[in-house]
Amino acid sequence: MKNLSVSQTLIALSASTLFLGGCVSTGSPEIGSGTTKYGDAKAVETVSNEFGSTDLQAIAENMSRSLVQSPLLKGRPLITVAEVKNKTSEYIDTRAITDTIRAQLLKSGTVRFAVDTVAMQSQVDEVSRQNQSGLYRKDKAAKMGKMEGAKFRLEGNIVSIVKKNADIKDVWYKFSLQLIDNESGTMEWADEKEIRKTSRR
Amino acid sequence: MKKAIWLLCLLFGLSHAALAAAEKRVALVIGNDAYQGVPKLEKAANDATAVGKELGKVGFEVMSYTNLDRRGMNQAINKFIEKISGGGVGVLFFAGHGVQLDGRNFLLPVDIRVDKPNDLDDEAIDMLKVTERLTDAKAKLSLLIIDACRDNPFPKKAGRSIGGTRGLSMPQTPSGTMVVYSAGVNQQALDKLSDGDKSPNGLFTREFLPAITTPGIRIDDAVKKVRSAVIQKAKGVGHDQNPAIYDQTDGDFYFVPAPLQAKGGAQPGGAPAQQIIQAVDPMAVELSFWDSIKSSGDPSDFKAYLDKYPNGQYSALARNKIAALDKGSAKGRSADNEPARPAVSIASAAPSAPSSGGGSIASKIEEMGTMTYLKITDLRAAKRNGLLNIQAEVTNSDHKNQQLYYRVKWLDNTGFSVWEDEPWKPLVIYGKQKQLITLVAPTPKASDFRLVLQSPENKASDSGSGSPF
Repeated sequence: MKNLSVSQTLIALSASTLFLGGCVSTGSPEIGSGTTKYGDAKAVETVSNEFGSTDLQAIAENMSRSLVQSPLLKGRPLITVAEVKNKTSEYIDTRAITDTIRAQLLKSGTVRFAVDTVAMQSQVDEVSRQNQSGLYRKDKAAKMGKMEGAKFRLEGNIVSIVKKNADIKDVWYKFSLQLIDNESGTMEWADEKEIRKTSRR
Repeated sequence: MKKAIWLLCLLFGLSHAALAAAEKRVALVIGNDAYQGVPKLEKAANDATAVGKELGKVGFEVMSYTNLDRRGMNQAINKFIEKISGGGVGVLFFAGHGVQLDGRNFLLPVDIRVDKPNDLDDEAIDMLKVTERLTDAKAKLSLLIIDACRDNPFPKKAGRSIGGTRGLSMPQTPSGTMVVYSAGVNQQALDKLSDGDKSPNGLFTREFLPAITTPGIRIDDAVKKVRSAVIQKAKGVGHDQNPAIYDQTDGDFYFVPAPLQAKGGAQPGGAPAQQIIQAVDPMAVELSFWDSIKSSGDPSDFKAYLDKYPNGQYSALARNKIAALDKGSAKGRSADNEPARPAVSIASAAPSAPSSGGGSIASKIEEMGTMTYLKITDLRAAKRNGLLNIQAEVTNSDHKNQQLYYRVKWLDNTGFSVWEDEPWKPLVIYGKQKQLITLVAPTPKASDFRLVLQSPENKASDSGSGSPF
């Protein structure tokens, strides 16, 4: 310690200054007490073993990737979304799954979707308003009788099997999706995604 | 197995002739010169006749008309659509006046008389309606070549919105349709390069004619070539004319397919070059042949492949396979080693030391931290149905189960991401297991990828990395 040269002392001093400087944090564009945090929306969620965001994402990704490979999609056919039945014991918003599948397929640019039964009322309202209210220029109004019918419809179901004993709860989900030709009624494509989740108490 | 292969060969051998017989190829050419209400043209009828003649040479049934009035044009188009409906291949060539109004394109018949812009709807041929009907007709391919917008046909007094808008606007092209305009939006197409120009055809047609009969050139390539030639020649006389191409077709189409002994040797078929439009991708034919034999244990299957494709894409593999089978080692790995087709080609690398060379496993993988037990021991990529397919083999060197989280970043050929962040996917790999992960690109735009991996129980090299968990 005695032999410390001036320069060494200087380095030690400057290092400690730097360290002190590191303690001062920069202000960030954030308001709050710090107990709430934004996380990764794509992260694997294992908070509990009920149907969760990761399951929804996995199902939607799996189904859309599988369907996009199908040669049926040549020529960007029109598809509509029929019902996906929830046969599990939980509440699952199956519309949220089909919406994600639809968004992914639309983004891939390989299919087009026709207005489905849920959105039909607003479609009818809009077209009739444009044509019947007398408020619109005739040449700029959406014409009646020009809607296109979908060539295929997507429908499916989700089932679950739940087993538990004193320590373990095991949930197995199966999501099946089918593409049906509206004209012929034939099933042209189908796929399934299985998910197993096990939790210990 | 053998029988099936010979049947396959026979089928491929016949494919050209069969296509010629099965595929209906119809061309409708219309050339309008003798306009009554708007300036007359000189070369449009000549252009149409010349194009019709060339298309006739390459196996089209040609319906050729000149100076049609509105009713004549409608009748001709109806007949044309009727003929190609249900899988036919149609080429519609129109030379004459064209005009754009409110973003819609109209072809003008010779009896056009327009006093108000709204008259166009009734007096001219609406391109949108034609393309819509072509889609409904389910033609395999419809190619619309519009050598129009030669002049602004309407005198100024006829109404500003017509006279002021020159040329044709962006058309809406339904699938399976390619629309080619001899000039870009709001441009005029040249009839002649100079006053002394004696050529009987307009500039675009002059360049387009030889492209029809050139063998082995895809239609889109041919059209692009014509475009460059037209742009250059028009520039030479101080004029801007950029032919516009709106391509919505899927697959490769040829006016005349390449002759058989073309370079590369990938062209299948035993018949001489037929003068047809061909809609089968020769690479796909070869691939399906290879798929049908690749796991066969009979060396003669591979010899049959080599007979057919002596310089084919898998010829080296076929030779390896024959050698391996002859040696008696029936389960050679090479059979499954189907090489990656165009997109990415990745070789299998040593598990522990991924090389840093281009196209190696290491360059496609992003490990978050260094995984001690899990390794990607094999990675391959191929384009199938236009989509990039990836298969990765994950090997667990530990005897305990290991958890893996992974996802893929999909990139285009410039390295830009073409898809949103994927959800992380959890996967359990049992002790000493080799697990295959297969992934398909969500969009045809993806041509490259990075596989992002994280394993929480593996120690990262320094201080451990956070997991998406």
